Amino acid sequence: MSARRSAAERLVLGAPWAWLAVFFLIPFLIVVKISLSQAALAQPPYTPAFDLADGWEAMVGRLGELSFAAYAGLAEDWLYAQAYLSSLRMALISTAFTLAVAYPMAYAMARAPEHLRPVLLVLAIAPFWTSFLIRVYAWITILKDEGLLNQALLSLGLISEPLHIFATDGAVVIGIVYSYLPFMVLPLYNAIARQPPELREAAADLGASPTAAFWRITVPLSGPGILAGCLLVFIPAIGEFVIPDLLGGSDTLMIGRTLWVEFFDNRDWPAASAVAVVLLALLVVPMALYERSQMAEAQP
Amino acid sequence: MSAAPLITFEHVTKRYGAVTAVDDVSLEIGAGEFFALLGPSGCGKTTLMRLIAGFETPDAGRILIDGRDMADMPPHARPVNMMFQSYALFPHMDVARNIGFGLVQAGQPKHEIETRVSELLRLVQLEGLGARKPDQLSGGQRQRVALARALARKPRLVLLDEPLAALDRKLREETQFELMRLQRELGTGFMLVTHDQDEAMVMAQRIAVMRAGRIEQLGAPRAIYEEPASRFVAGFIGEVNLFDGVIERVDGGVSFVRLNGLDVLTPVAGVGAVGESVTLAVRPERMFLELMHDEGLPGVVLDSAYRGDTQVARVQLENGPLVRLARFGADAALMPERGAKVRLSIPPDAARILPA
Amino acid sequence: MKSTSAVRTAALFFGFAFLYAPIALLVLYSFNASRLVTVWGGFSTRWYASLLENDQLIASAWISLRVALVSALIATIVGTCAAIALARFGRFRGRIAFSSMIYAPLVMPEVITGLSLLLLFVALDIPRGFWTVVVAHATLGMCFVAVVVHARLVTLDRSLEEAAMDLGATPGGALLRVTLPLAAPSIAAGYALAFILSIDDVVIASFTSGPGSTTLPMRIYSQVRLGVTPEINAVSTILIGLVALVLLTGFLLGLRGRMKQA
Repeated sequence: MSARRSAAERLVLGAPWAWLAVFFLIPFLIVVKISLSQAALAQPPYTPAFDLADGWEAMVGRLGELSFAAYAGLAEDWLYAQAYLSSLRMALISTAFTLAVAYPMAYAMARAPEHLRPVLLVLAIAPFWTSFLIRVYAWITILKDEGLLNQALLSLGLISEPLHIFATDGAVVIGIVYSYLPFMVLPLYNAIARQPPELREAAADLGASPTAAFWRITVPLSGPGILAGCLLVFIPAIGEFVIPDLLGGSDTLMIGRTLWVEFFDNRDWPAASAVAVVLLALLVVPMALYERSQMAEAQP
Repeated sequence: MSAAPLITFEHVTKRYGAVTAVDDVSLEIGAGEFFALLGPSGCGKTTLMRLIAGFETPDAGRILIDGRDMADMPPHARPVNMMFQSYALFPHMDVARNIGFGLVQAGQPKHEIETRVSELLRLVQLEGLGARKPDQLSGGQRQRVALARALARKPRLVLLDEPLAALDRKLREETQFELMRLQRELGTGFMLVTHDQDEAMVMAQRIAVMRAGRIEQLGAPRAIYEEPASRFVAGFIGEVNLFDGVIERVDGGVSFVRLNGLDVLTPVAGVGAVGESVTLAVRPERMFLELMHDEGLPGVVLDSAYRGDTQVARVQLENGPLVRLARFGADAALMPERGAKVRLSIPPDAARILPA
Repeated sequence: MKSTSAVRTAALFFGFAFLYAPIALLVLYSFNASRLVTVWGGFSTRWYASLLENDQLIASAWISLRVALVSALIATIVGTCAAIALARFGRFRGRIAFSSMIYAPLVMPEVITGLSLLLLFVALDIPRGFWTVVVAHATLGMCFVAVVVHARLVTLDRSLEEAAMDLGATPGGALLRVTLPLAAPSIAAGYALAFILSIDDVVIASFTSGPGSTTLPMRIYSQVRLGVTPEINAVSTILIGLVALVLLTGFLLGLRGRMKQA
């Protein structure tokens, strides 16, 4: 097949290949390399710095200066491990809640009359198209101690003191669930809508009440959709930065924030790179899972 | 048919928006009979079937199963089971669990379910395939799983929705006889819903021919074929030649009909009024090919099709309609070629008067 | 079967209420006369007026628009090529690696993508500014475009292309004259998706932009960190209105297309 590839075909395949190689693969190699460097008061702020102008031999010579110091630093300081674990915990909790909110919605959408479904789909996806930042910002005004939620609850007499949600882990979970909801609804909807209605009817015909049919037929068959949706939320949620930064408290520990702080505030590029490499290592398995599920789906 | 009917439709009507799918249908189906709902697409047979299963509720009228009004009875509580046209096997369960699904819903103990499932696998000749998943089976095998699953709960009636549609010809014939055998052995009521008149004629003991939401004729296959109650039924079941004419004379129980445009008087059983316009129906295999070339209606053979066991010819009669001729077995060899001039006649007992 | 439709309607209602309530509140409070975002002080459009004076915000909005337009274009072209390769080139060497590179950025945390691209630019001594953001956004965007277009290409009836080739078209010609036109709606959707991703993005832009190329989200973000003001509500409402307009147009066009088919 590849032997008789025309020039045009080579371009069509080559262009994205080259782009991703340069702007995706190589950057990762660079991140790994930086993680093996040491912070320095220099521009760029790490050493050794490989400068092509110095010549190949000089660069090879500098290889000896690479070290695992940054990783050692990660291992020594318990804070990093805490941040990873805390991110994992938040991501898991958020994914679970997102699933719980999204499933009934997706199910109701899939069971809606045929002519309504496109409208419902657009309505469910539309928030995703408005700025993510804006939507997180909206929650600030809602969740603050003097915010709209507390105002409403106080005036209804449901609580006597304002709920302290803002600047807690809880606010971050709400933010993640809210922002990532469309990502969960879409694969779930596809998985449920794809099931032929005869299956539900057959189950009813054979004696299953609607509830029994839901749990024994609909949910198991939507498995791939559940997996895709959960991965689509879990993986990016672990490395989330904006949401914990805006909605979380000073004690909300998430690895995305740690990376940001190391890089921008501490100017410790090797440390930030090491954080990224370790994070990526942790995510390799879920990411591979996700890619496997997507490629299996995409097979014609 | 046994004394108390199994299914009773009392003036049942079902509408979808502006369309009346089932129009004031009243019908009785006996326990243990092999019944067929036959008709072209859109005639209402599928809706009728779904009304029995409980997937639709009637806009007017009542449906009774074993004398009980099914008005508020959801599908999972009815003693009726369905074999779906698409089989609707649960893809995430193996064959055994598919078949046992209804028994699990009924709350039967595990070992009883296992026994029953083995019994059913034997019944439909799928022994040893219990652990396979539906996507590992052939179309014919999947159908048998669907059938076994529908029989598992020993329903009073099994609805068969176009059961043979997806099968190739040979398999179709085998399955037809299989289904008849099963129905006889089990004594369960079978209701076949199909647009294929071959299926209905072969398998059913009684057929209801439907059109536009109404039942045009109800009866045994022979009666429907030999004595069609309307032009539609005559044309839908098998092939038929239609001749318009006027009753010229009535003598004894026989009406003599002068066929329009043709110089012949055809005797037909049945009594009508002199001067009445009638339509006669004659089956292609009853048209007589005159070997004496000076008697009968003249015509030209337009085309001739050899099908192995039958031969069919279309003959354009001078001054008359296009007519189909059919011969079977050894007689097929006697069929004339395309272009041949022939003479046809209608034997005395071959024609039937169709009601207006 | 019917009895659960009340439950389903409730699920839909609460779900959409949850999704849209914050947006609705945001829009509502952009007309708040009071400076305090959480206290309603009467109806006013003063914040929209002050927006017009906010040169910084307008400048960054303009930058964001240009970045989005260009990066989405690159993303669409390169991404469509990737989709074609995946859908039509069969099992080529390195297919799995290629496919992994397409799907990975979809889920990868943005801090990683942003960091790695910045480090690349530093290593190559490329000054950060307009073009580095464009490249970064195009990289992310092309993966989304590839996935969207690929999904459509895979469902297209192959026999249409085969018919074209049977009638004398080369594979490339069949692609250009039959496949791509049929896939055009999803290519357009891919462009829209890449555009919106670019206009929204704050993390990657923060890493890869430079002085003079502060995007609108970056500007909003830094202002939000300082404190909430209704001016941000006003900007947000305008952005939401724009998106709603685009979506509505797309939806109506899609409807017209469907009705023409019927």
